[in-house]
Amino acid sequence: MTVEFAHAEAFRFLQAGSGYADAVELEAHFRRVLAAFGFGPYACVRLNEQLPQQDPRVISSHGLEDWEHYYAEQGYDSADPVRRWYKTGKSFYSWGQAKAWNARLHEPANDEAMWSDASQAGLNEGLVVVSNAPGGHVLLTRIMTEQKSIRPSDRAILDSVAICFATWRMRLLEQAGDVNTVNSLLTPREAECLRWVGQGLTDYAIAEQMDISPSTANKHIENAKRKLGVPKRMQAFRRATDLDLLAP
Amino acid sequence: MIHIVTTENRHLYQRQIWAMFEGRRQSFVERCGWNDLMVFEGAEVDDCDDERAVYLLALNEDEELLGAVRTRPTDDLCIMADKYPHLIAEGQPPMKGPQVWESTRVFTTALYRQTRKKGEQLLPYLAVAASEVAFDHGAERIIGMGDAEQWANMSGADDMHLTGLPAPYAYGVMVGTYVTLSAEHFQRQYESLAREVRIGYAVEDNDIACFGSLAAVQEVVDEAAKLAPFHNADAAREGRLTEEARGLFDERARAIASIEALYARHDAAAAPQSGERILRMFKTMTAAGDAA
Repeated sequence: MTVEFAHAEAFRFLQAGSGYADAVELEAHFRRVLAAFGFGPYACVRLNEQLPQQDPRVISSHGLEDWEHYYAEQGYDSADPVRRWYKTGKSFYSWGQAKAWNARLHEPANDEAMWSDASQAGLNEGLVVVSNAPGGHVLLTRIMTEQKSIRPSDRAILDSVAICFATWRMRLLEQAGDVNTVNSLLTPREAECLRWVGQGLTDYAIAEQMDISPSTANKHIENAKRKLGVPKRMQAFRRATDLDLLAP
Repeated sequence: MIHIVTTENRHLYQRQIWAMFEGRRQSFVERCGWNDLMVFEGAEVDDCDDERAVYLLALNEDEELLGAVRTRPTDDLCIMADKYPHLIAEGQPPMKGPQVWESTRVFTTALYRQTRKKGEQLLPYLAVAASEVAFDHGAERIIGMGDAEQWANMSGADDMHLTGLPAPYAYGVMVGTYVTLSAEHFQRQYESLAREVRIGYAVEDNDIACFGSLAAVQEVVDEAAKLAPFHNADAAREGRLTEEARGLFDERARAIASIEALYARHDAAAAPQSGERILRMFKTMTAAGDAA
């Protein structure tokens, strides 16, 4: 496909704005744009904690299976297809974030292994889409291409397309009230703390029950609140119950 | 209130205009790092700051600057078409000419950011006020440029379109946008801002003569804006006196009392033409609603 065709497709995508009927339609158009620029399939990885506290190394390959295999080996939490991508809260992406993530991804220590693996898979260039999931989880999408390099002007277009895709997708999912996108990452200890919260126990009482310190109990509850995107502990319990996250 | 500042009334805004130029330096040169802009004695100015430029200044009750935008016809100068023509794709309508105005240098001050109330938004009001000025002058489109990342959130705005694909520039990635202006556009804009009357107001010397200061004029105009929807109420609306409507009319009575109090306060010290000025303000504030 020609550069002109790719540009025209990107322009149509960006011009369509928030006019997409649903996330499926948006994603289909996004895929068409990527295909026009020579990109392959993409996938999304969900990290268990805030990325800055973790190894930010991210690698992608042609298919989701490769991702899952890679992440299983690396001990990461899981790999999700993008269709399960989600967020709550308002601010989930910024150009500054993208630059920060990219800078971090390109740190020599991480860069070498990542690009080595990518190169073995025949992938040379890519772009990263970053978003925050509920509870501060970070979702990264690395979209790869077999091209040797992306022209700077195309890089600007693709980054803009990626930002718009992330923004509009979240908006559409929120509007649709997509419950399938809800996080299921409560740790067993957090879930246990929430079960005690549901019985009206204080931090001190929970600590006694679980043989941990009150501050640790409080930390578990705070983490659960953060992940569930609610301000109060009882709301966290109700939400976790609604989502069937507290089953032992 | 957002003040329309032209060559006709710039003498009333010397302090605020200087604050605007300084604010532009702080916002664009110091915060955004656009080091290629010209700074003259602390003020950021460029070729477009000439006698054709119209400034929209948002002031607080102490006449201090909260934010500003510059708008200007493009038949002679156009930053987008002249300096960044690659932002305009083939097949797009002309972005330079007598029917096109350009909005640039939109910013908010540190004072606004420190004092803004939760949920308060100034930039959409500045944008619509700039569009009002352009529309008043017969413009069919108003254009602007911004950081590409903003497009993701701006794209839902009524009648806003991309002029072309995003492109890199010295400080990031930029995108050009244009808005098609029409009475219907303003109607939708006012509805989205929960406002029934136009936003910008051009203070005249007579206003100052009547009310004494920019702050006093601003107070009266704000009151007039609140009252305008009730001033416009048609007979059908009067006839549907539901409980909700009764509340509205109570509000109307309070607004009238308020404006009368203001009138009485200023009338004692100012000219007998105050009543006429208030009437003109009503008409000015309701003109856009009538057009829509």
